[in-house]
Amino acid sequence: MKFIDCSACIGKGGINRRIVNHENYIVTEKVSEPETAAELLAEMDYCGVDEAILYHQAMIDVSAQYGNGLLENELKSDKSKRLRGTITVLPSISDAGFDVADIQKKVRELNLAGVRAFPHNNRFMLDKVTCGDLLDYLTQSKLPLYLTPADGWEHIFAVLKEFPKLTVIITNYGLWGSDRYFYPLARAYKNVHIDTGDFQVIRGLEAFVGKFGSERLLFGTNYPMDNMGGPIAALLGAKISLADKENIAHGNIERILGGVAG
Amino acid sequence: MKAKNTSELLNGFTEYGRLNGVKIIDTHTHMGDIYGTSLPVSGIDDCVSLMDEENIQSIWCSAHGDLFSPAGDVNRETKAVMQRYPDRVRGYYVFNPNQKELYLSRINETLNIPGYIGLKLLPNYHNYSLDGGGYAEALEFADKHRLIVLCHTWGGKPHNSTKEVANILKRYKNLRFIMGHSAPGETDEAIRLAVAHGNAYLDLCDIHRHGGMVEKMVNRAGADKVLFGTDMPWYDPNYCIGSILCAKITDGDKEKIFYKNAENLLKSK
Repeated sequence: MKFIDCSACIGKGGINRRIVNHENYIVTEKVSEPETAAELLAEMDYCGVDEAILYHQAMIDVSAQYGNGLLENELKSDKSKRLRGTITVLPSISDAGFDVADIQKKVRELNLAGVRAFPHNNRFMLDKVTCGDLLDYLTQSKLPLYLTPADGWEHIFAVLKEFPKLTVIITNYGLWGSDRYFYPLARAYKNVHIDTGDFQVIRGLEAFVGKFGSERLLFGTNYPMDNMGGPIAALLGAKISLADKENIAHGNIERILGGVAG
Repeated sequence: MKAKNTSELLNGFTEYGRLNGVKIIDTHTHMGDIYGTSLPVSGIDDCVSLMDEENIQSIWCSAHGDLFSPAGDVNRETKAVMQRYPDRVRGYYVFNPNQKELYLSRINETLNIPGYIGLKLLPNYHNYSLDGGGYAEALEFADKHRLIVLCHTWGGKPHNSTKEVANILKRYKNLRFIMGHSAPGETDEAIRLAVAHGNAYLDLCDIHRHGGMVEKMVNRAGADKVLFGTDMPWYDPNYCIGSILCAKITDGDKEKIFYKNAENLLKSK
């Protein structure tokens, strides 16, 4: 089966890894970190992952600008064509280089697969007042916006209330079951998708597919906070059809990225 | 693409979606609903069906109700599931030091009721330090009878960090001590304790998911010291299975983790 990892991370963390155990409950743990794209590819080869969409830890630990730069260097040096990037965005009103035109240029130049926002970490509101230009652009272009509830779910519910057609990928949400958050979002907003990297609920994939179909789940590893083998086996062992597994493993993300306006 | 990982166990799982030919003993499980999360599978009958599907031979269990809502008939839920499935469920006797006299008055049940294998301790949740006096008699009992003790451990948390575990391991050499979750945030120290103490074991429950963790435990402490655990009905056994199958360790070491170590613990009582 072809696997496209919708979210993996490269770069060494300053304190190794702050890992979401469940939302608002962070564990600092020493894990094996891939410093470079090449190291990530080696792990993908070992585990049988074909392609990956990645970000850089320095986007969180240092700054969006610094981490985006490191990611750009890695993407430009990668010859495998198996990796695509996501950059971190900031409000254009306060930070140079984050006008919609700047982001569009980067998306084209680097063939980016999405953007990430960490509003709590970067101290801004992800709403119409602060980021209306960006959120309008993302809505129109259908470029995925990656959001994590590591610091709480409120900003995810809030931004979708204002921008219900956003293509959102929820990632890095911790190992506690989050169905009480996922299900209402999936019911209300058809462009909300879930990265399966942290999805460990027993028969959770089956329950989600039973309610919403398989089109809203995207295979992910959340590597290296999670290892790659866990999410792979969770999907292979799920009691759902092969067609559903194919959707989750690669079909859904291919469809989403195929629909992004240029 | 085909993985470069040549594990035959992985190849089999990839083909069949389950481990065929290698059974699993899950040494860290619970039972029943719990606050904080919805669980599609939570009752014992559904869990046993799942165990059949995933080739899990048996589970070592302490039910949620017994952990968090002590009743006069202590460990009622755990006893009920052991009695319903005596070949599939073994029990931990939950000991709550806040009601020490009650729990000590019934602790002989761990010897007299078939299925019990030892104690389950939850120091941080019970707000009582593992190395405090409230646990002493229970631990002495476990030590005297070479019981298995599964204790919740967590790095940086009061009452059950590696510091308290180290104090216990200095005192008690006969009980078999499983560090539940292997003290997330302090796993390096948990591994060191497993190396230093022949009666200390690492639990993969929760912690297996992190990149490189299974390899680190096996490479430093040895595969003999690592146990399979999932917190069932919380976490998908397939996820833990995958963490092990894709670890860079031998299939022989994987089999030790899946069931052989647990079997040896039971045999060595």
